[in-house]
Amino acid sequence: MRRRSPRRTLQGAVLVFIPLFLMSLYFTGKWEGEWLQRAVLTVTGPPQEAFQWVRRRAVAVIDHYFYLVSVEEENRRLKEELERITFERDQLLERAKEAERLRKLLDFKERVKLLMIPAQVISLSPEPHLRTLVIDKGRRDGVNKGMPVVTWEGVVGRIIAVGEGSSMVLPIVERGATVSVLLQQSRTRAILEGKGWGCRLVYVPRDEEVREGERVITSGLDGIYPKGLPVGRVSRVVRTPREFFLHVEVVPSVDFSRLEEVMVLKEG
Amino acid sequence: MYRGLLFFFLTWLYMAFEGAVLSAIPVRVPPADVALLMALYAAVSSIGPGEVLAVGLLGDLLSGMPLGLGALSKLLLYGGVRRMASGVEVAVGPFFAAAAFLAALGDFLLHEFVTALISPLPPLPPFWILGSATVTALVAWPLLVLSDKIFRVVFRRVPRGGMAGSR
Repeated sequence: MRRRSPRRTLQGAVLVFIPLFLMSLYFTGKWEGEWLQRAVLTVTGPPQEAFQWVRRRAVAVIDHYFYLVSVEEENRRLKEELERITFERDQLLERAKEAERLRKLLDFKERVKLLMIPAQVISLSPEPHLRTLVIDKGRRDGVNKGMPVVTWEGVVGRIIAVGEGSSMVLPIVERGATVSVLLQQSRTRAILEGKGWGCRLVYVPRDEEVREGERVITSGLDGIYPKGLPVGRVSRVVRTPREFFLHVEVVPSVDFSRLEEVMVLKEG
Repeated sequence: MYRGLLFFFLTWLYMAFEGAVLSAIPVRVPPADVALLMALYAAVSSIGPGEVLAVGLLGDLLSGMPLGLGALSKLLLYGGVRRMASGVEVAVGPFFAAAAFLAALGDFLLHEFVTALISPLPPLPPFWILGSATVTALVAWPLLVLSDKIFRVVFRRVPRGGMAGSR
């Protein structure tokens, strides 16, 4: 059997030590590689934007010149209008409920005013373990780590890394993503957790009245997402006799497979 | 050194391109693990472990995973394949695809194990793991041939100095 030279063994040990060391820094919160990630995002963003530009142009040529131009345009406009109205209706419904409760309180002082930064999805994570999104807005556009990302349909996720002209978003369906939520009818508070494929509610006491189909909205308690944004609908409720908490599955209101345009929310 | 640099930037290009293409597909499909395939490519070529570490870290940075996790799994895979593949011609279509499938499953196992050690996150669904391993296996052979072609154009020879199956 061929023996490995001590030099190569040492080299292998050092190389294995490096990722272990980086992981220890990451998990203890001492260093998460921010500047390295910023550099990688800054360099990777422009070619991906260029690819998306070419793709969109090609799709636009096919869609707009060879097929039913006016019908497609009208359909798109109406769809956007419908999405906007649905979003506004949900917001108003939530606002109305909130106003009802707040009327009882005398010291209602402030409302959160939000600015929106429109962005386009230019890439998905190439790794199968975590499906993050990359958008075409970064530090120079005013995007910062932790900012919430939404569409007209609801909550998409939050910014986890920022480059100069692009940022990385952790979608709410991914593992490690959590949102403080509220069930719209029952007003039950819970934590929404990504499963890697869909979401679930955790820490919902078993005596709570949770119904399938009930809307899930942000509670605003996590300090990341403003209150009242649509998150999804309860798709399944399982009560297990010996457990304190309910198993609640949630279908997100955003279709993550068709995500193209998003908005980054910024406090104004 | 130049060979290592080409390997690194080639992997970066593949990953950036894959990410952009995936975002354009209107359905959620499991992606091929390009960093893993390139680690496998390095293992059957004369590319060193330093480059594999760099590629693993790049994958972590591009996907937002904990820094070092992907790099560690790619390095372990590289070491394992390099040991097992001595005397076996892995760089042949079906063998390379099979190796990629098994390596992708192993990579998932390691990730899930480390993730479970660190935080109580729910496990990834099996269909996603199998789907991704299958896509990785399907992409393996074309990626190997493409990378060999690029190396041949730039350096006039592939890192192995000739590859069974594409000669």
